[in-house]
Formats: sequence, structure tokens, C-alpha cells
Amino acid sequence: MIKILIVEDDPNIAKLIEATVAIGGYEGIVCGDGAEAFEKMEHGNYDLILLDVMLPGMDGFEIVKKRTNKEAPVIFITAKQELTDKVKGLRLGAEDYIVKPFEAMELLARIEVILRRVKRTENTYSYGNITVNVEEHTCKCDGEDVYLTPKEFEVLVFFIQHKDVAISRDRLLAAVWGFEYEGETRTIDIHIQQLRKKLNLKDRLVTIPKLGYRLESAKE
Amino acid sequence: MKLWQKVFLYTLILVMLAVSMTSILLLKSSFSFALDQKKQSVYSEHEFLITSFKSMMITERLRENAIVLEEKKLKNFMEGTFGKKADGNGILFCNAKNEYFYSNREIKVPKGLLEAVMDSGKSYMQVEEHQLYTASAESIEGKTYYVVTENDITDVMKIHENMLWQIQAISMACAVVIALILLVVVKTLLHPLKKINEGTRSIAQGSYQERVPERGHDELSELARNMNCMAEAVETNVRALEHVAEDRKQFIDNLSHEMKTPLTSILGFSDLLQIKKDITEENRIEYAGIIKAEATRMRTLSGKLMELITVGEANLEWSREEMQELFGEIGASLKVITNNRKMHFSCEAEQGSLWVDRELFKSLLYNLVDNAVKASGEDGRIQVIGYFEEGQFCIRVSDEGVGIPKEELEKITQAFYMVDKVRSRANGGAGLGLALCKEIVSLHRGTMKFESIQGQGTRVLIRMRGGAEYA
Repeated sequence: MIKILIVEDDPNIAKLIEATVAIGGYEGIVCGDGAEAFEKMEHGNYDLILLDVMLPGMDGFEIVKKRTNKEAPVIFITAKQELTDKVKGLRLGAEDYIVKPFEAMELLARIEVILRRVKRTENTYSYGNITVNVEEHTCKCDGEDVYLTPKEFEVLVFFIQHKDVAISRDRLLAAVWGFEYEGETRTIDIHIQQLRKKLNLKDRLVTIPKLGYRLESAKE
Repeated sequence: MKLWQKVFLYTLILVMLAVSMTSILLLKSSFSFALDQKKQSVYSEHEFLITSFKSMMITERLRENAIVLEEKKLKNFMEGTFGKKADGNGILFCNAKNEYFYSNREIKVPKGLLEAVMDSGKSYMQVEEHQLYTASAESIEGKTYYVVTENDITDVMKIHENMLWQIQAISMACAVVIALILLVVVKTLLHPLKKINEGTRSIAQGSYQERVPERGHDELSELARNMNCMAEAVETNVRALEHVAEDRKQFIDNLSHEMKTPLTSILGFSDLLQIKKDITEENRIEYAGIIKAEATRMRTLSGKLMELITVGEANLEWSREEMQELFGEIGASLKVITNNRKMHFSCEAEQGSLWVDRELFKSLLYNLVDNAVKASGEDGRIQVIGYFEEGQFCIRVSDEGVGIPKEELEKITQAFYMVDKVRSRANGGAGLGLALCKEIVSLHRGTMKFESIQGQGTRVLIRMRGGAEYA
């Protein structure tokens, strides 16, 4: 299981981040003090670090500057939204910079991107009788190849990664088509219908009224 | 035109005028002196000529053996004496009727000369075109004749002209030399002005710490000094403004941070509640609890913030309050809080009155006591005393709580500053209480001081003169 160190001094926000990463299937370890977090980062083995900037003990920028164990990628999560802070954070070697307040799905998406970049995610996902290989861009259903368009493939992968989570059309658009995509949300509906037909997901890829869609856990 | 160019040009013109005027006057007087001398010598020559002619004529008369020489003979004699075409000085005789009688060469008598002699009978001299004419009336052979002699004075005129040329040349040379010296002098004198100019420009362009050099005791150094005074004032004001801007920026930064922290929790947990499929009852209650707590925190923050903002807006209501009464009243309502925590609380003041804004004054005491309560544990002791000293009203709030570290004392009145963030938040603090107190005390023309020993307690000392007195 992927381990994520959550460094955040506000206990409620720390709990929020922990609950959010749990949705993505990651294990979150919370730490509320800068100096303590620094020690953990130096000696512990984490796959990703979510770091607040304003911390008691030692601030986030300092921690990143001083650390010698640079294996784990760092994402800053902070209320400081000024461009100079952003640039400073990224210059120091952080992989991303998320400004509070953030949405749960956004955080998950960004974590996903970083983990994929540093190749800590698996290449294959399976969901019931469906297996997808991200590297080869192939999808098998009951051992037989199913042809999917690139976008359909990405939508499917996104749902498999976020099982049991209601995903809004906007979120899906941002994740698969990119934030600048100006298409209609109807595009999503068409892709969902295609997926349901091709993979026989009618019962499991359900519509949540006024919100979006959800892929339910496969029943054994 | 630049100032140095003006000063240079005007001075040069004036000096040149003075030099030329003087030399021309000198030249004039020396010329007229030379001419006078020439005239004198010419006149004596003229007289000598006529006297010797007259004596020669007597000899001729004797030789001719005539009492009076006839006109014709006289003319012949003149011809014999002076020649017909002479090279030297010319001489001309006219009879009484101003008719030409004899001349030894062609002579152009200047107009008016003979007429002047005829009218007065005296001798006259006149200069015309390098020639000096001398005219006199003489009685020759019983008749009156006018004699005009013509003398060349080219030498005198030449000398004059030569001198005129020389003076012009010397003046030109002088002009060049004076111009050079003037240039150096003016440039040197006005050099500080250039420096002041450059300094002022660089100050104007924003380098407010720049100063212009102030050497010497003339007007320019005075200007430089005043310039520096101005720069100083500008610098001070700019620094003050920068400081205010910096404070404001800090305030806004802190405010946005304080707003975002609860917002993040509220948005985040409501998001989780919305998107997650299966949420245990336990989680649901926990998440909703957090959302409610954070929303409460935001409400506290906005309330305090409004208080802080309205305090600054000077819509105060001053009234003369009896301090003993007011303290009793405030003490009674605070007792509710302290009794809950089983604390020892006292709140009393001396008799006497002070101009205060009642609501703000209450808020001041509430905030200070609230801080003391938060710092003390159960069973703690909190004392509020009011007394008059040296015409000022003093308030002392002391507790036996955790105290404040020395290095933090300076910063505790800053908005959003919290000594112990976790504790303050747990107690529902927003970090604005003391900032508000400071504002209220300064409105009551007072000062606030903190004394604290960590682990033993804190003491707040306030001295105030109260609001301006309205009779």
C-alpha cells in the first residue's frame, strides 16, 4: 500500500486530508509538527509527502531545503496563494503546489499524477472481470480484448481508481479532457454510455442524480 | 539658456563695455591734447609767417620807394615771397570783400571759417580732412586782408588712427582672456548647483536616502541644506507609509490565512460527505461536528473583525462614568464565567469618574479577563483593580496563569498573533483580542504594558487619561 506522510498542524485539516487520501486507497500518516516531520522524512520510507508551509517547529520551505532524503516527492498544501510563494515552493523541488481550500477530488487527481510520474503506481488495474493496462493502453473483459477510444479508456481508468466515489461531470472533464476543455458535459454522458455498453457496466456505473456518476465496488 | 551661460555672457558684455569705454575716452583725450599742441605750434607758425611777411613788405616798400604798395605790386611781391606753386604749407589772402586775392596753391577754405573771422575780427582754426586751417584778419598796406594758412596734420591723425587700431586689438585680446577666466570662475562658483541639481533629481526618482553635498556658507550650501531637510522629511514619510502598507499587508495575509484554515475544513468535509458512498454513522457525526466547529470559528473571527474595524471608525459615545459602579457591573457579569471554572475573581475600582465609551470600556475588560481565564487553570486567581494615580486612571489585570515568553511580549498585540496556536484555537480564539484592546486603550489616550513570568502569571497595566473632556 502506498504510504503518504501528511504534515499539517491544524488537526481538522489533517483529518480531512487523511480521509481524502483514504478514498484513493492510500495510507496516510499524520504529523503536526515541522521538526518531527523532518525527522520522519529523513528516516521513514514514504511514497509521497503532503506538506503545509506554515508549521510550528520548522516551516515547510525550510524542511524541503534541509532534507537529504529526497526520494519521496513533495506536494505543498498551503493557504499562501501568492505567486512568489508558489514559485519558491516549486523551485525548492516540490512536485506540485495546492492552495487551500481545495477539493478532495482535485487533491486525489494531483496525487495520482505525481505518483504516476515517479512510477509508484501499478500499470494494471483490475475491477471485477475487467483488467486494464495503463502502459499498453489495453482493456480486457473476461480475458478478451475490448476496443476503447483513448478518452473512453481514460474515463474508465479514472473510475477504477476512484471506486465508490461520486464523480461530477466537471471533475471528470477536468481530469480527462484537461482544465481548459470547453466542451459540453454531454460529451461525458456519451462516453459513459459507450463504456456501459462495451463493458456491460450498466448496473455498476451508476448515475447519481444532480451530481454525476459512481463506479460501485464489484460484488464478489 | 543655462544660468552659467547667462552669468557668463552678461558679465563679459559689461566688462567689455567698460574696457572699451575707458580706452576710447583715454584715446579721445590724448588725441585732443596732441591736436591742441599741434594747433598751438601751427598758430605761432602762422603768426610768425605774417609778421615776417609784414617786415619784408616794409623792406620792399623802401626798395620801391613807395609809401604804399599798389595792389598789383603787392600781389607780385606775394608771388615772389611765397611762390606760385608751393609744396609746403599753403597760404591764401582774401580782401575785405571776401574776394580771392592771392594763394600759393589751390586751397579749399572750409565754409564759415572766413565769415567767422570777418564777424569777430579774431583768429580761428579749423580741421578738415587731415588739414589744419588757420585764419586771421591782417591790415596790410592800409587795407584789411584775411589770411588763411593750410597745414598738413596727417601725422597727428595717423597716430590717432594707429592707436585706435591698437586699442581694438588689445580689447579683443582682453576679451578672450577675460572670457576664459570668467568661464572658469563661473563654472567653479556654480559647480555646487550642478551637484544639488543631480542630487535632487535622484531623490525625485526615488532614492530617498540620497543627500546633496553641503559645503561652504553661501546661498548654494544653504539651498543644499534645505534640500537635505526636505529629503529627510520625504524619506521619513515614505518610510512611515511603507511601514503602514507593510502592516496592512501583514494583516491581510494573516486574515486570509485565518479565514482559509476553517474554510478548508468546511469545504473539504462537506465535499467528503457528498461524494463518498458509504459513510459510517461515526464518521458522519465526526465530519459534521468538525464543519460546525469550524463554522463557529469563522463566526467568532468575523465578529471580532467587525469589532476591530468599527472601533477604528471613531463613532464613539463618550460619557462620564463612575468607575466604582462600572467595575462592579462588569465584575458581576464576568463572575458567571469564572464561577463556572471555580476561579477566584475580584473586580473593583476606586471612586472617581472618567470620560469613557461605555461599550468599548466593557469590551476592553472582557477581553483582558477572557485572556486571563484562558491562561489560568481551574482554581486560578484573577484580580482586576482600578485606581487613580497622577491624574490618570490605572487598570491592573493580574492572573496566575501560564504566562507569556519574554520574546513574544512585543508581538502579542499584533492582529492574529497567537502565542500558542493550538491552545488558542481550542479555546475559540481568533488572535484579535489584544489588538482590539490596544485600539481601545489608544482611543482613551492611554498606554498598555505587559509584565509576565512564564509559569507564574501575567500582569497587564493600563494607564489612561480617558476621552477628550466634553463639558
